[in-house]
Amino acid sequence: MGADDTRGFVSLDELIRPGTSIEAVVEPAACGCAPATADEASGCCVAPEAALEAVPADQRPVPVETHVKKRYDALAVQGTSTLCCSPTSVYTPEELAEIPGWVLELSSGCGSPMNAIGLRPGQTVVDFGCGAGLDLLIAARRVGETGRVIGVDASMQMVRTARRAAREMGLRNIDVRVGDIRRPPVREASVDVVMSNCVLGMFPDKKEVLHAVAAVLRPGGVAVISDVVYSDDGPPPADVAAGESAGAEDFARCVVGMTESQYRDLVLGAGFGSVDMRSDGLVPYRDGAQVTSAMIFAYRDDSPARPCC
Amino acid sequence: MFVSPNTVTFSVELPEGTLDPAYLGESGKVSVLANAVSGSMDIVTPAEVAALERVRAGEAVDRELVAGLLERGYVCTDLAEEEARYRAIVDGYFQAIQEAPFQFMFIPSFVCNLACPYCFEGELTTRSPRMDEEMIEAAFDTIPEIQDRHQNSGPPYITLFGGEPLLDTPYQRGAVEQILRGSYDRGYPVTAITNGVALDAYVPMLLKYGCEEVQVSLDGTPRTHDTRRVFRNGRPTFELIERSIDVAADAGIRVLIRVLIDEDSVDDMPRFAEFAQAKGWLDHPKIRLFNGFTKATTFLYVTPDHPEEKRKRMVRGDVKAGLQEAFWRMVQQNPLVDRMLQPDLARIRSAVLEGDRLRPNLQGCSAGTSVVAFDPNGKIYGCPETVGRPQHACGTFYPEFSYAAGYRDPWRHRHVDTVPMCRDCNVKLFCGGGGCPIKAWAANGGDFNTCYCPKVSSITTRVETQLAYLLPMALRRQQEHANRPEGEEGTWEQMTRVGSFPWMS
Repeated sequence: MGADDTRGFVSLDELIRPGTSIEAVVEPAACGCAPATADEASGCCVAPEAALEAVPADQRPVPVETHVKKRYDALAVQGTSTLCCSPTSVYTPEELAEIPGWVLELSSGCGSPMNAIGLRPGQTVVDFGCGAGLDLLIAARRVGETGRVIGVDASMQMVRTARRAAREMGLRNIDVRVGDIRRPPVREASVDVVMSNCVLGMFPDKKEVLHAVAAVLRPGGVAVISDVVYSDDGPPPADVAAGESAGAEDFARCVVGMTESQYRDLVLGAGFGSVDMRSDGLVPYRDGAQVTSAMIFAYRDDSPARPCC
Repeated sequence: MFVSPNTVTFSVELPEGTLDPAYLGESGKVSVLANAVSGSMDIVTPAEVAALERVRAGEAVDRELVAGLLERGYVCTDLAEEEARYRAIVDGYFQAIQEAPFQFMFIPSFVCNLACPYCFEGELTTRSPRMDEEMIEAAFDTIPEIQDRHQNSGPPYITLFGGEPLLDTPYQRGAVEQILRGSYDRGYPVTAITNGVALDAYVPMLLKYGCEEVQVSLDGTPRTHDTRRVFRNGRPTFELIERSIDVAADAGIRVLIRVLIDEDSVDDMPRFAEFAQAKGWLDHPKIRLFNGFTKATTFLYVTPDHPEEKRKRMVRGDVKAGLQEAFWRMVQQNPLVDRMLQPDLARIRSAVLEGDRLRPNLQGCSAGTSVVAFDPNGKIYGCPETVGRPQHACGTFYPEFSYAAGYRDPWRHRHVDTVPMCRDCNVKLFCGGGGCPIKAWAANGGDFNTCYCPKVSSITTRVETQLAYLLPMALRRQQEHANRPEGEEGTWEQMTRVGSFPWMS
């Protein structure tokens, strides 16, 4: 029988036995965002429980990371995030000029790591959890043609969206990759700046992610991370403090299950030389605790003698 | 007292005078006990074999004889504890699979410039679609998705495969460079499996992107090789491959040379070993040679929906037993071939010669556990031998991603304990369990947790044949050590000797 003889061959679909269906990527929708105020924190998200109900019972429990990835895949297909945060509150109209409207629609990060650090031409920058690519597009212009901007996102649909935006804007120094930021598809010690805008909060094991962030930085590199943390003065709810981490609802709202000082210790334990934290002020959250949108500067080595900003 | 379910007695024929006659049984053979759970392997006396059988029969046994068997794990006092030890190995294997790296194979095209008569890709290699830039990017995108579906956390590595991946054509250079660059940028180690004809032209590119290892194939001396491994117009290839090996190795790339052996070439190996030695390949730090056997691949053309008679007939035939016998006979008479290939068909070589712990073999084929191949049609395969046969595809990576994790998972997790027939088999830890997964799947109606294996007796024979080959070598080495004057032996040598098989009661 020849190799091209199809007699008796079965199609791929027929090949799969009952109960072993081929999985497609696109999944049901849900929502995620980062709260800037208590109102937003309580009102803007689709309850994650509702999204979980869409998952067949025999497939539960769904890991938080999978849940988040599916949610963002669905948002990318939907074409709008319908979230609480708007890039117009973070970037100037000049910076947002020429950015495709659908990228702005899908932008859901509330922090502004890009504005907290001065990117220089020629630098290599990676955005962990780049989503539809807004920060990538702005960073690509700042580092110029001699620089390079890499986006990593677990959502294949978001990556496709970001690639399309880079193509439409003619930015050839952008490379967007599907990947899990706990095991990022980025060569070790190859980038100058890691930025991450309200993404680490979605990962239960932040230590693992922070180790990965430190690993891709060159000596002298810095990571600029925005996250929502609990105030040291208003401790996290009992379930979080007891080490049970945050619930799915907290992850969906990007609220990290730890206080500022716990976060600081975690960064230093992940291979960074020093850390600075800046807070945007406190807002009340559940169980009487208070949260703040924090900007974390994690330096691969010691802090620079002259701060970059 | 019980005999461990994992204790196996092998019966080995050794040349006269190799061992004290006290070790020989009535048949003139020596008994070797082995237990892959305790990691032990020992030459034992007929009295010890008889003691073991008395334990098995529940009869009283001399305490001194049993003490040695107990210490080495051939008998046990608690079957539940023994089961727990076995279970720990199975669970450890499962955990290791979760964390082990996946090998993602990129096939830019099936085209190959050679016309080897035994090629399993056959007609696929004469005309093929090509992976374009978008497809290559899509394949990289798929890697974390597949890892996610298998909850695999290991670092992926990339292998260039074909057809012939390193064809020296503009298209192929462009595609290969994109794959190499994509791997380098992501920090994925990359290797290539190539016929080696144009490897030298690719060496600068491979070095640029950190490729540290390639595999090439040779069929023996130029005279033998050039009758089989030839260009499509019949032109010879040996000299080109030889040059490529030297260029790559001298540039610092590790070159694994697979020496392909069949009935027609087995007797050519002594001459090829002399050739390799004269070339300096046997001592080159960047070159390693190992043996491969040509085999029948008719199993690629059957699927579970074919009539049973056809399925059983088509999956038959692998490496012929006669070839293995001829191979061992040849190696036995040619120590230089042993030095070149260090053959280890039964996976016991390091336990016998180096004093390593005898390692259990829980999975006979690594393809199912770790291989994902992307072909130029946009399909995903789980075994490099099945690529290009759509009936064996387990998903697509282009234009859209789809993946039958439910089909692949039982394959990936198949081992000696998931196949019911293997679970109760005494020699399972020497065989890997169930034979080729794809053959088992095709032959048994689409169930991976079934068995398609050579008969148990052939597994036993395989181990006994290799023991018959290795034991005289090990005993000779032991004797040489014993005869050396005190003080001439280094610490490492002493350690090796103390730990090494054969342990003898």
